[in-house]
Amino acid sequence: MTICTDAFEQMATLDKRVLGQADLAVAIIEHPLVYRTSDEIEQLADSVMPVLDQLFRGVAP
Amino acid sequence: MSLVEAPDDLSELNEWVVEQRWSDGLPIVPPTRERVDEMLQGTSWPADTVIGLVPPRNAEATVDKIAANAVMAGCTPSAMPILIAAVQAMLEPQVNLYGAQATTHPCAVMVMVTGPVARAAGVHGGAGLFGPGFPANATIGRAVRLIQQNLGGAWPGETDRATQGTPAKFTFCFGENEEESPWDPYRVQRGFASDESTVTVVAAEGPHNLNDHVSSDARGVLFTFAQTMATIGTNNAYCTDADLVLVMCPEHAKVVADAGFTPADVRQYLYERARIPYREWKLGGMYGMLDQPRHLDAADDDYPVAILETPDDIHLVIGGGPGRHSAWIPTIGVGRAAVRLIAEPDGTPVRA
Repeated sequence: MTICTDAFEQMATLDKRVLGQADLAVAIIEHPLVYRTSDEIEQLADSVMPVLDQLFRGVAP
Repeated sequence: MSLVEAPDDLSELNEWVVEQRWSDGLPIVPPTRERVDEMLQGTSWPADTVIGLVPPRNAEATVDKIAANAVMAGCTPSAMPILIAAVQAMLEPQVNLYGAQATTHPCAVMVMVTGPVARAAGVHGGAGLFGPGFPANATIGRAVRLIQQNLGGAWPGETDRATQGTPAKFTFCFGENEEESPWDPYRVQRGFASDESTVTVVAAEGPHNLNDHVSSDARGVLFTFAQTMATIGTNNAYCTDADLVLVMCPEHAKVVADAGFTPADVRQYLYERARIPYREWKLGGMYGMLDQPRHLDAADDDYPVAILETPDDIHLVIGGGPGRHSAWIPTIGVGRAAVRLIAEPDGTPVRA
């Protein structure tokens, strides 16, 4: 399970392919993180949790 | 290696190779089968030898493909032994080429070549060594970049994630000014024989100026170096499991050597003095991103934070011509240098 920001999605896609893990689940969140407050980071984490839950259970989000 | 049909017209061809993402944006020499075969005459390595996989795409770096990129970059066959050693070196795990290719940091693969093979190929270490005018420097560095791009898949904004990049990504290759060095050549300092030739690579920023026009004593020169290197705006200030490169100009080196300093003394001095007060170190840079060394937990504001783990993390080379400008080359911080003997397939040194 990997979480990455959308700015790095192409990189993640290439990595999955060349490492033979094309089906690896990756949750994408919005870039960047650096300007966000702690509260906003927490909200972002909460928002991605349902996606992670689906990915863990093998259900395509 | 497969062949493709390409436009005959040179202008059209160069537009086409950019569209294919096989170029760095500068015109290339078309890598026809004939030209690649001619390039292969510069090495005894069989064309189908796989030197390694180039991340992040992990395409095979065969000698044939290295030769094709060498043709595109404008190299002569004398570059081939250097390029093979450079690829061997950059694929060594400590270099962290994957990280160098994919990082947001502005690093290029620095290639430093010394010894008889470098001289025979025309690699220049004298005046203006980092700049234009020296075909071997320009084309060998460019070929290494094209290999990173065409085999490793590093494409800016996508899989090369550099925020701004660096002009050093076009080409970053230089030699050593052995003739004006007061000390043993770099490769000898690193344990190689004088008649052997080596390639050193590290993922590095472009050179930063170390300007000291006034010091007539070693400590003055070295204090300028240390003060310039001790800055929070480099990865090295926070990522100390790393090497960095110091290219001393002959005039600075003479002042320092005349005072009795050896290369080891220079490294030791800089290790002790290139430090950042904790009060400044914690104001920005990468503070808080990494686990800081345990001893800093008890540091007061005046504590001098080292940018190196050991004095040996400095790679000291003599380069340049008249004048009093040296350079230090900060690095990615999460990778080290690799030094490779320029060798035949059986491991014996290539003789110029």
